[in-house]
Amino acid sequence: MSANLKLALALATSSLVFAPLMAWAEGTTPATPEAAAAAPATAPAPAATTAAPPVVTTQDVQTRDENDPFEGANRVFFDVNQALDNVLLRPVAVVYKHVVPDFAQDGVRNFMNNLNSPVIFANDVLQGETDRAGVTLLRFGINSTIGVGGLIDVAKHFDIPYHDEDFGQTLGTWGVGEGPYLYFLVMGPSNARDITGFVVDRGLDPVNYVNWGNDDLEYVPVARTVLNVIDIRARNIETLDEIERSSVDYYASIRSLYRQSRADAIRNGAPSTDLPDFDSGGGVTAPSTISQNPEAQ
Amino acid sequence: MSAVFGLARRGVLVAFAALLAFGTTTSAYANPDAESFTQRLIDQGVQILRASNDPQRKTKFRDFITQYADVRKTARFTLGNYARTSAPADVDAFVDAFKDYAIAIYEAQLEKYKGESLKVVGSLDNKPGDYIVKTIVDGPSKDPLRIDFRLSGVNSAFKFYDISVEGAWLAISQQEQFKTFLEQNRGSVPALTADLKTRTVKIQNGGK
Repeated sequence: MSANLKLALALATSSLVFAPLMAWAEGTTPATPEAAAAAPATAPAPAATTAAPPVVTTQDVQTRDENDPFEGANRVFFDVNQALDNVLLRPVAVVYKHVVPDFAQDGVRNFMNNLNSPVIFANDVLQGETDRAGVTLLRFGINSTIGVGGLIDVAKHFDIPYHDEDFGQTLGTWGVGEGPYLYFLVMGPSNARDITGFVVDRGLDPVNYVNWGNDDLEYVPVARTVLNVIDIRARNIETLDEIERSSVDYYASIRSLYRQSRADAIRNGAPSTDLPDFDSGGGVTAPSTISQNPEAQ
Repeated sequence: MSAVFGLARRGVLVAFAALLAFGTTTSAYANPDAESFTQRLIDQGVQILRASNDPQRKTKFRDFITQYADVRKTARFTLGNYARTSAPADVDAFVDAFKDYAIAIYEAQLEKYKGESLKVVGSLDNKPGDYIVKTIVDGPSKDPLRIDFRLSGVNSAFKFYDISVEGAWLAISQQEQFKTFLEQNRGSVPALTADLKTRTVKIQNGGK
């Protein structure tokens, strides 16, 4: 696994591969949020507004085409990953899910989330999200102490919910386009922006430095990655089975869901601003009004 | 334990009120009719699926979807340009197969949440006659899950035509899959229709 990760990273960071990818990404993406906001201007006129419209993000304008110039190679890696998943990862995840008690699985998830707090905090700050940075800091303080080193998500009981951030999302909020869709061995779906973010996040992550000058701790980053992968796979057994069952093309399904989910994550769950018009075969419409039902909160 | 959490929670909330001021503003409902329609839709669908001993359950759920979902609109969208360029008879056969496929997916999705609390939390006017209603699934042991419904309709006569889970829309994903399939099969809509029928049986049977 470690070797495959290195291979994926080497592939992504190779100047031969990476420079053209980024150039390609820049050429297909509005350079600024203002440019992105202007993109759906040709959409049908919105209804009268009663509140400020949600912020338009650059990735909204890219969700319609597949954006997959390396589809041939991606599909090969996808097939290899599927084979690895079928013979190795899924069986291990099934055993993990059925043997490890629920509270222990929750502990693992909580611990992993807490361990990732420095990366989330750094990206909150880089995105200028001071409120969310405060939340991350507060959660880290509470869960690392009262929550027994992060094993218990005490902060959740204080209505301080977990949120995720990474440098791929940060680049998205800065107006960097997603670039071509990429599918890596072991790592799975990504794109030029997200693989860049992955490399930067590894650099920001203190866990990756715990073994510096201490060979006894060499296993820590690897063990964390392996446990994280198994835990994530175990939590998605039914969901992925269901998607595979219902997919006419599983590869295309994962690609679409990944791209939509990443765009949603960059918007922090705010409504998409470029949903297709079903009556005109996929044109773009712009939302105008959002409301919250206070009684249902 | 919960009392301790309650007291501590209040203290923390007061102490960090400024820090946690998310700044969410609320306004009047964008479309209360669309929201109440969606809540009725969810309640009715879950009620049908909860009646596991009812031999008419499948038929009732099918009638329910037929009444409240604009399946033809969704089906034609997922075909993309092929809806306009293919033979009308092929498109009609596809729409019929898609209806069974969509019902199987909706049933599988709703089945998962029939024991959970699924409630409307807001709505969005996309354009006149086009709404997004936001709901949250909140189970006792799970993290909240966002499910949105896209509706069309005027004068309170609504139909839903797409569903998103955590920001990923089902019909958009299906359109992308179908496009790839059709490109690999010389644009044969009957081949896609046959594949959908196979998929529907797989969804209904469950398993890997």
